[in-house]
Amino acid sequence: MALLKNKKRSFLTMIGIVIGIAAVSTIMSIGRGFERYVMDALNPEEGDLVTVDIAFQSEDPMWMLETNDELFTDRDLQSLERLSGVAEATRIEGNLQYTSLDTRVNGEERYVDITLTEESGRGVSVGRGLQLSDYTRSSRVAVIPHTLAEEMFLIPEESVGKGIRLGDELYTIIGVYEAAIDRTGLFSEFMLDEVEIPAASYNLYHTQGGTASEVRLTVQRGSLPSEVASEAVTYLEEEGSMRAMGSYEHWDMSMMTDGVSQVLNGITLFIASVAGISLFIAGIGVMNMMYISVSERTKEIGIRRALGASQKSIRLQFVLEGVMMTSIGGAFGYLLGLMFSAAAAILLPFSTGVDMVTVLVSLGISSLVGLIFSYAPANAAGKKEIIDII
Amino acid sequence: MIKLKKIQKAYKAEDDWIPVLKDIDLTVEQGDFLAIMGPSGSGKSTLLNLIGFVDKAYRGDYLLDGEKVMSKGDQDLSQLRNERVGFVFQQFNLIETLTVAENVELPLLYAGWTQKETKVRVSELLTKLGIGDKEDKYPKQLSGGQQQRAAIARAIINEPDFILADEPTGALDTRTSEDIMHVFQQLNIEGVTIVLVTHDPSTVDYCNRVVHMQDGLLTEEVN
Ligand SMILES: Nc1ncnc2c1ncn2[C@@H]1O[C@H](COP(=O)(O)OP(=O)(O)OP(=O)(O)O)[C@@H](O)[C@H]1O
Ligand SMILES: [Mg+2]
Repeated sequence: MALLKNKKRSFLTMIGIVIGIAAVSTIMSIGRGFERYVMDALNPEEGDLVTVDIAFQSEDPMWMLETNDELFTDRDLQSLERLSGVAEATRIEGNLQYTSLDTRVNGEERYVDITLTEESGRGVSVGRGLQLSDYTRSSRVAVIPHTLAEEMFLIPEESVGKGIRLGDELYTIIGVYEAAIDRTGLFSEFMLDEVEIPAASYNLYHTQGGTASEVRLTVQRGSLPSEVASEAVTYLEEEGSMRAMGSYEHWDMSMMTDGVSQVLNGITLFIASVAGISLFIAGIGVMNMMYISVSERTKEIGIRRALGASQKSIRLQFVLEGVMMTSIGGAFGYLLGLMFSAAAAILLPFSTGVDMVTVLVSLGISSLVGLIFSYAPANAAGKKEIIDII
Repeated sequence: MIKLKKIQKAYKAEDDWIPVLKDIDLTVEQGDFLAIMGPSGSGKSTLLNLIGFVDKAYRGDYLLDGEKVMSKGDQDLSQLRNERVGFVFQQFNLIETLTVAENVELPLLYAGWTQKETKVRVSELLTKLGIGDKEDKYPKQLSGGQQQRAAIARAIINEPDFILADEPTGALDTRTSEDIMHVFQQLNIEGVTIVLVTHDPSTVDYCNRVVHMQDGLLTEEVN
């Protein structure tokens, strides 16, 4: 092999290839490590299937509270289930914590804020507070603020046992609480006079089972939850039955991986351009070296031709020498890249390692560079006239 | 075997063409040991290249076993060089970066042999030519006579029909020249046709025919 005879020159020519391939294999190792990490973190191979929730948010909250329309129709659910990566789509009752309902105070219609409690409620000054049993039984009972009790019944103590209409339902007042006293009066506008009722009662009597504002998608194994969710959101924005009334949203639980991913994208772009430029320059170097080699070995070419080598076999010989040189460079580059990515892995929350795809891509790209850039010199070698040579 | 009819060849020098071969007629028969003599620049090497399928730019007819050679393409001519001819040069022309054995096996590799298959044949031939111990040496490590033996081995490894030798003893001393001529003589006895270009009258003694080249014209010496 002629390239082994001229080690220094071959080595210098190979440096570009080594750097280029090192960059390529670094990106790939890190990228694939990250992919594995994300997949593993967000959709593990074992255990329960992961779910993502998609919420509908109306532009008009009042409409949302009042409407009896299905926010997610059966047709929506069926279409969602047909999306790739979705195993199942089900409605979930919105687990609201606050809402508001209309009532009548002294003949005057008005909305009051409602706190929905799931266990026991706040302490009261009169009567009793909400208990877990009220929630489990979905009792229509309410705890009202002192101010409201005063307005409605003048004497708050007398309000216990009386009724209050919330929406279309009558609730029994079981207690009255003292709102935190704002001595300065500065915050009076912010003091909420909330009526407290069990969340289960609200869900049972007021939502009519049809106004679930969220849908839960079960993600198939091997699919990225965030991708499935954003695909579903995109679908709903275009085809969902409520698309005219508001927007669909998905809060990504994997925000932190998004951050890592953004940094990685930046790094990837940077390294990819380093790789591209150095591979191109290295290719030109290979071409230059091959031209020099061809002209230095003019005599050898002539001798080989006299011994029966055709133009084709001379061309093949030089192309193979070029490819051999760049793939040796590629192999070193891969090893260097392995070291880089191992070093990078110390700073990253995931590990990188040897994988077959990266090895093949590294060797593939380096031999391709050799093939492309040594073809012209090799062709020139084949075309040389033998008589001029001998 | 080889029949040249009215071969003409000219080289272009600046504006005009300089004729080098003028109406060459030559027939070489199987088993011939032909010497071509003549002054420097008379066109001997030019003729030899032409016979060896290296040069395609000539006029006239070159018939090999009755078949015209001119009409063939690169692939065919390369195959002819590989199978029918062996070249031996004054300056040996061994490839410096290859060992003796690697040089000698080249024609076999171009004939489609694998590296494994050539090994035995190469060793046998080198031993026959008296340089069996030099297989793994590089050309530079050999004396002139040894290099020329290696070059002869390379020329005959693929069992060609004829050998074209261009002043093969020109770079060797008298004793070594004699050794080399004995090698050729032995090959000729074994049936190989040899065309030898030479300046040295003593080498002519080994030949059965002598032709003289003068100003691009060929005359045969009758003895
Ligand atoms: N490639 C070439 N281009 C132009 N002219 C050439 C070329 N090769 C040979 N000649 C000319 O052709 C003539 C014959 O050359 P050739 O080499 O055949 O002579 P020769 O008989 O072999 O001489 P020598 O005994 O010195 O080897 C010479 O005048 C030479 O200058
Ligand atoms: Mg000559």
